[in-house]
Amino acid sequence: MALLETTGLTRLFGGLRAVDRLDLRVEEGEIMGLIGPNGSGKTTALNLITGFIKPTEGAVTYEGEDVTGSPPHDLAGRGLVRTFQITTLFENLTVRDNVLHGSHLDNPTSLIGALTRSRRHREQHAALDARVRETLAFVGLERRIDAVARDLSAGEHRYLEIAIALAAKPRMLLLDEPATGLNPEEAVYLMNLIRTLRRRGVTVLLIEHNMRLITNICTRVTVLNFGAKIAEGTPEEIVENEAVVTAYLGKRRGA
Amino acid sequence: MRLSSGIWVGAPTLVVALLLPLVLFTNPYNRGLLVLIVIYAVAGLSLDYIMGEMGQFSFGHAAFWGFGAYVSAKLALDLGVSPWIGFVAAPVAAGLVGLLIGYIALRRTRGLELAIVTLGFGVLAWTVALRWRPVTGGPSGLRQVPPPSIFGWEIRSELAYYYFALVLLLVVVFVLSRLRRSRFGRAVRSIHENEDLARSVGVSATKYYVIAFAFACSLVGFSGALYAHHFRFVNPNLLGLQYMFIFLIVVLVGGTGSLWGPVLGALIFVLVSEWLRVLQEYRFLIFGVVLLLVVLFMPTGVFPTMRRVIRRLVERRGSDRDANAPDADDRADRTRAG
Amino acid sequence: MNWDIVFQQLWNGLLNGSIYVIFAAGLSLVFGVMRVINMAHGELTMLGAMLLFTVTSGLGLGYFTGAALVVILMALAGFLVNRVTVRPFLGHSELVVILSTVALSFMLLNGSLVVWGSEPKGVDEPFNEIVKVGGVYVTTAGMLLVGVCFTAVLGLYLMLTHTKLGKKTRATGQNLLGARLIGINTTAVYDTTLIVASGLAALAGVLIVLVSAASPNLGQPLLITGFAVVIVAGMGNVAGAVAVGLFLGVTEALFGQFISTYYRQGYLYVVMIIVLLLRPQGLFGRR
Repeated sequence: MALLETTGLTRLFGGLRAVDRLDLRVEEGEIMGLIGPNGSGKTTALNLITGFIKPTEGAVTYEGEDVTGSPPHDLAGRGLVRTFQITTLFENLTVRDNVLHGSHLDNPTSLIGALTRSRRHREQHAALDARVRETLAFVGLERRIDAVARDLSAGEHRYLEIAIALAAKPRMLLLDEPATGLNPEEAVYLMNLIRTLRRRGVTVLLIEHNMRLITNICTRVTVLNFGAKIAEGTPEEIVENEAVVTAYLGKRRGA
Repeated sequence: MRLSSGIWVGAPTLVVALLLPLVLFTNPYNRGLLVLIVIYAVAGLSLDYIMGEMGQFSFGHAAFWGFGAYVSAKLALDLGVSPWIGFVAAPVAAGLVGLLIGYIALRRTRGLELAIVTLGFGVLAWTVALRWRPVTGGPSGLRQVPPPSIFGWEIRSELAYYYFALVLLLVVVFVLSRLRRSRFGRAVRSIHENEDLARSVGVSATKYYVIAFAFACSLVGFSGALYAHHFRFVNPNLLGLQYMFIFLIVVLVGGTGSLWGPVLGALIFVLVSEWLRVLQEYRFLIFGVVLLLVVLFMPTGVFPTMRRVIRRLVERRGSDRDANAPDADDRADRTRAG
Repeated sequence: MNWDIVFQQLWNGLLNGSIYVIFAAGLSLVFGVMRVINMAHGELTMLGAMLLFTVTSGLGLGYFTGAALVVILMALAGFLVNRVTVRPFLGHSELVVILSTVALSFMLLNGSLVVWGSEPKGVDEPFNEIVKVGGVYVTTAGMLLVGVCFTAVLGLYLMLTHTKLGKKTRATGQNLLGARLIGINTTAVYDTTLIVASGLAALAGVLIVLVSAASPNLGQPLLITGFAVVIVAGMGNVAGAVAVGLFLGVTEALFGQFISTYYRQGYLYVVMIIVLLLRPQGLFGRR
């Protein structure tokens, strides 16, 4: 059984088929790449899967259950967590608070506990804080823990964004162009992060432009053009695929 | 402004607050002003929960204030219920109505649209209070609302009521300060900072906003009940724009996003409008001018401006111990409501 | 059913509705273009009415000359309204702008009370003959009111749709940054918006005196009514405000006649609440 599956997923914007009868299967433990030229519907597909917009037709199945049209917070509660194409953080808060606010689902403290600051509350909070530090250490931001998010560099922004997503304890992580704006070293660092995530049991759906990243870490790749799937296979197969090469390089149909 | 400095500023302030009615505000009229400051401070804090923590605005906030006042007054007058029960019933009732209105409004609107929608509900509530004579007493409202009593002793004097209200204000401040760092408080804050991101990490934005809105309504309903049992009357004006403007002034002049702001705002509002009394009919004209100037020169409010100035002075003295320490309060200034 | 009464109320409703239309159009225009809730809009209308009283009774001008003078003066004052109470605050929270317009309304209301006192003042209409059309009594002053109102709304519509300035204004309302990027002088657009809105508010003021007395206290109730209209229509939708203002004016009069005079005032709010429950963004609102 696939962890995530879409069947006939379609979204119309006016007359435009932003996503067109998309069938996608992501198995547990995979790093699935989702690529395609600009405007091919990748981000819309991700928005449809995570409940930020509702599909016109088609279904999304997650962990074997139909979750079509479920709101984002419900899906996050089930372990389906995403990041955004334009880096999205709690910009006015510190790095620590960013991850703390991202830990909503992982925060065991109760309201009464917070009001009375009971011993139990303090213990729970200390444990949570330790997990926050751990997550930050994992993405390499532990030394920036007290910095304000908007003062971070572009690379650090991306790592923090991933840390926030990880704080929600994802079973499956959907990353929307995480390497955008990163220099080559930072991109390699990111690549290793994603690999480690997989080893820790997180399934990844990765939207990316950076072909090196895709070919290096993805187990399978799906290619979209004009909202529809034009190819699917291992990275090696995709690079050889004629339809993909045409879509990317030759005979542009005004994309 | 970590906890320690909060105590350093808070403790002397509390001492001053306790001494004020014994030193400067010695006659009943002036002590009545102190009571008003405390009541407005609670109302301002509750409105700032919507503005500072949620980053939203409700133009119907005064309607919940007046509603709380009517609920408590009505219970005491018609059913002979003790004001103490009224002090609980008013926030509960205001909170329940707040849940309903919040659910209707917050599902689909935010920002200025929400402000306008809540204005609509507020105006409707005001009309009902004005017109539903058998229940609300119509334009003249309800009179002879009883004061609360402890062990058979009525809290009638301004001095006793002031201390009583001050204790309740402290409780409100305490709860609000703890709430911010709770799971609930963080969820609300995260929606304010970035709603999409909050949803993506599992925060049910509408649910938390509706509850937070109802909480603020409940708090202001409590403030309304405090008003009713001190001034011993209620009328439809309490639900109207006049008080809405007062609360807005209290919060924005004091400064949003901090617990000191609305308290300071209430103090400034009551004292300034009192001092301007000598101007007689020019009073509110000049008040408008003063207000415009304050907003022009201190758009973030008096408290954040004051704090910035003090901090700059301290820094200039070369005390750089905390120069690199991040400061959550300072950032709160920069985030905007709305 | 006595159809004469129905038509009489339709006419009465048309008079009120015309005022709602012109008032709400200005309120909605400012919100739509600038995303500013102008809490002083009602006081601008009030000031229009009071100034007309002064120039007609004090300076001895006729109604038409006086009204034209007042509307022009108030339109120019709209420039000051923008520069003194709106523009300096635009960089801050939207609520700060609300507060500054609240401050302006305090000044205008209380200043007017000082100058004119709270007694209502009558202004002489240019002509006030009662004409019987069918079974309906219609005043010539009322006809003037309706006529001017709809001319003004038509003018506003043509300005917004057919002039370069109007197109710039709409572009600014849709996307401020985008408008700046394509070289629109948004400051000038904002100035113009408040000039037009302030002129419309004053026009409502000089028209109100055709059917009732001028009083410093007429601003706030009108503002509330204006908001009810704008809420039902959807904030910032000028055309919607026109349609809804007219509809509410007419149905309100019919409600007052046939259902309850006492709750007539509540009618608008009940309609508003029904709309809020079903469609909080308003009938013509986006989203």
